[in-house]
Amino acid sequence: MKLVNIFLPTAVCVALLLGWEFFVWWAQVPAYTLPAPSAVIQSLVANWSSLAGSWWFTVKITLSALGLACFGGVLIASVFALSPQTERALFPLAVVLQVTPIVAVAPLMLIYIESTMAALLLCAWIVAFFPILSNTVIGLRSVDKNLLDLFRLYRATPWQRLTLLRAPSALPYFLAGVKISGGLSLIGAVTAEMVAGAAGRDTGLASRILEASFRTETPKMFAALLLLVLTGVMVFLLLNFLSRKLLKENP
Amino acid sequence: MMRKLFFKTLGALLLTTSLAQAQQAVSFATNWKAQAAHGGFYQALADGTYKKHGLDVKIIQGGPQVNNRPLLPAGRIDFLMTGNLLHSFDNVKNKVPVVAVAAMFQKDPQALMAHPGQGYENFAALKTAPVAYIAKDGQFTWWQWLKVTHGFRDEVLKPYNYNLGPFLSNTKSIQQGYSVAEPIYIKEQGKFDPVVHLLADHGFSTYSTLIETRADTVKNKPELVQKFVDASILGWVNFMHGDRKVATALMLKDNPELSAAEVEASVSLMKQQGIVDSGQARTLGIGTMNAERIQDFYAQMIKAGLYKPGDVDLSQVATSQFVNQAIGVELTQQLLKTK
Amino acid sequence: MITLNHVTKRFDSGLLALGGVSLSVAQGEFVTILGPSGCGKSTVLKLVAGLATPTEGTVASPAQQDQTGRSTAYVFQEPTLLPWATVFENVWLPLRLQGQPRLGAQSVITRVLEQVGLGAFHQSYPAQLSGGMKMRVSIARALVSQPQVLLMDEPFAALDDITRQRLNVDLLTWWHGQSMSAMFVTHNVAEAVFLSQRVLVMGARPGTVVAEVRVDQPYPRDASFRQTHTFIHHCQTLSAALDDASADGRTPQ
Repeated sequence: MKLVNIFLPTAVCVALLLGWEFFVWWAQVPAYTLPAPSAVIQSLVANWSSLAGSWWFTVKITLSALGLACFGGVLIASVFALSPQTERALFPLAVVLQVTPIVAVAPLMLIYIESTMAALLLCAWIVAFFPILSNTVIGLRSVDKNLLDLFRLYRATPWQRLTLLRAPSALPYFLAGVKISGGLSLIGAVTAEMVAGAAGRDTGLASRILEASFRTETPKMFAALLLLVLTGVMVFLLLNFLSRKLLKENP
Repeated sequence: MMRKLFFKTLGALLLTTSLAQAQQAVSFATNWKAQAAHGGFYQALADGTYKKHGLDVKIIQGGPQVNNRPLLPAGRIDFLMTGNLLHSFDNVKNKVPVVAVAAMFQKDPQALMAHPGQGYENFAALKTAPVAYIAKDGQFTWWQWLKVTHGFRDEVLKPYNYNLGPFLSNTKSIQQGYSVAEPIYIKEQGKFDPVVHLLADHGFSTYSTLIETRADTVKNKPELVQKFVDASILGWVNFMHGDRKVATALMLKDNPELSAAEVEASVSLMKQQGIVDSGQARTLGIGTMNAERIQDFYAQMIKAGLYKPGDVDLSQVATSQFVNQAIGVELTQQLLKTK
Repeated sequence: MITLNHVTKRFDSGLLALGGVSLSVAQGEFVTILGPSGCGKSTVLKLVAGLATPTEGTVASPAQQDQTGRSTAYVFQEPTLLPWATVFENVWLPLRLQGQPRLGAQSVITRVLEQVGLGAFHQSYPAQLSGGMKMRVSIARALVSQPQVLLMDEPFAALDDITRQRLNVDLLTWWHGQSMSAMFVTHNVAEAVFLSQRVLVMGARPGTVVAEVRVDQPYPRDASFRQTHTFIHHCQTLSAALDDASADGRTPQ
């Protein structure tokens, strides 16, 4: 990556942070309203042990939900692609799952499901799987008709057709869906926890934010928020990197 | 002679102008939707007590998922109702310049409830419950105290979203509630009287339903604070012991889910449990606070791990300059006599 | 070896693509089907390849009986390559589908790529190649399984004239080396004359064979053939036949 590409955004970030720090000092904004970046970092360091554990929990839920969304999305997409009747029957269900606001569903999930972690995982999965499903279905359908004829000509087996033709054809679409779902998994995990709450060891950054809010510890809220943002950015960068590596032949 | 007349006239003029002065607009935010536990404030508003003290009060409700607390330091409201002293400790710890000026409840109605006949008649048995429905506010405050002081465990905690359903359907579960409110709803919906354990009876000695205001309001407008506190105290006296019909009507308007029967049942419970005027309030008036009790409660919270020594400068937590003046004590005795 | 007997083809949409086509192609013969757009030329190829079935009439071709997929190769109008695979892997595809591993097929693939002039491009991806190069890969893929029948559906239509003419010469070289029967579809008269021994002219709506012209120039043919009187004469004959066919009047031979 060119040095200039890294330098420019970094410079902008640093400038914004400095501006924020200056503004808080100059306008004497109290820490419980808007803490300065330095206060946020201080709180991050002071509360590192509790924040780190929660961070790891949130990351675990996010990545697990994403993984399950990939698996489930591809599985269902394959079924849909192979059987248009099944798709017609079940697709409306998938749409309903997609449009139901997770904030309404999450409290119910936590009532019906014993394990908090399972409930949070399910909520994050619901939010994340649809882009993967719809994109992969389109991808599996978007196979070149001539290539299908070619495979038929050479008497390819269904397995060969799936692995050598349909799957690679669908890959760019699938990856596009995964990139969207990466961010959504995080949002789903955080929203579910924030709306429905969690307790004890099964808690992530959302609980830390809530706790800090109830205890009026605003710098700690921001510190947890910072970690959430970092998580989102890292997921984004990771998926972009993976996508580039896997699609190197399709520049 | 002329001088006397002059000053009398001047005095009369000043008196009438001060009476005719525009009422001071005051906003007061509560911590829940209107319920009997707010009754005294609604009484003072409904029967004109606030008006008589020169205050045009607007009551802003709270509710589930609504957090009115940041509005006070932000200057958007003048007075705030808080549920316990922990909020005040947190404020002072985080240098939020607000202070408690009155404590309308001498006992915190925060309680844990269980199904009858399940073995929870003893408080010590509560911690063995497989599921405890606790809301976020409690989870980060008094639940921590329960863990340290009484051995409750995080593993059983499930989020309470102010829906009675899960508790009603799981006979082995326990849940939080206000001792003067939830048992009434549970009786209505679940058709049974729950076992109620007041945290106050087991060491949770905080004041409750406190009035908070900004420190600079106390400094610059002490008469305003005094008027609001006085009128609120009288409102509570009238609500508890007088005719509370207009207060109830106003609360029903604000919270249509409330019923007059529920309000009455709640008031009896408040009287039974000595929530409002028990102990020192009998002699010093409703709203009374004393520094020793606050200090004692703080020490207990330090033991429970919620604070470290030196976290909170107790002198900033509350001021009793506006209470302990026996406001309403005579009126109370009068009303009790006429009953 | 390839026979169509009074074949009609009606699509599900109701369109009558072929209205009674009879033709035959002998072993090792190079036959071109020449006709305007929409006359069913591609449909004839699809029937021969076994990718479509006739509504009436019979089709006899090696593909009909073929279980292994080795008999017939097809070159489409677009190169139709796997974009995510290298040139090597694309040419490997027919052999791979028949179970031949990469290592075992390596020598055959290399030879074929050399033959089409792409020896240096084993590891390139289709996106990195020009249109003409991609078409060579497509042809290499068709040749690699040494089919009995080579079907080509206007393969050079999208290329510029210079590339097309060069590929015409190359194609004859490649075809001549193996004893394949070839059926070539085009609407380009010069190409038809240059490449084939027989040219079948088809008329449209519904498609039928309306004329047949023999090109008696022996193989090998090179670029100089295009300058001869025979060539020009045949082009004229065919152009006339093509005009007739396009004008909706079907002139029997």
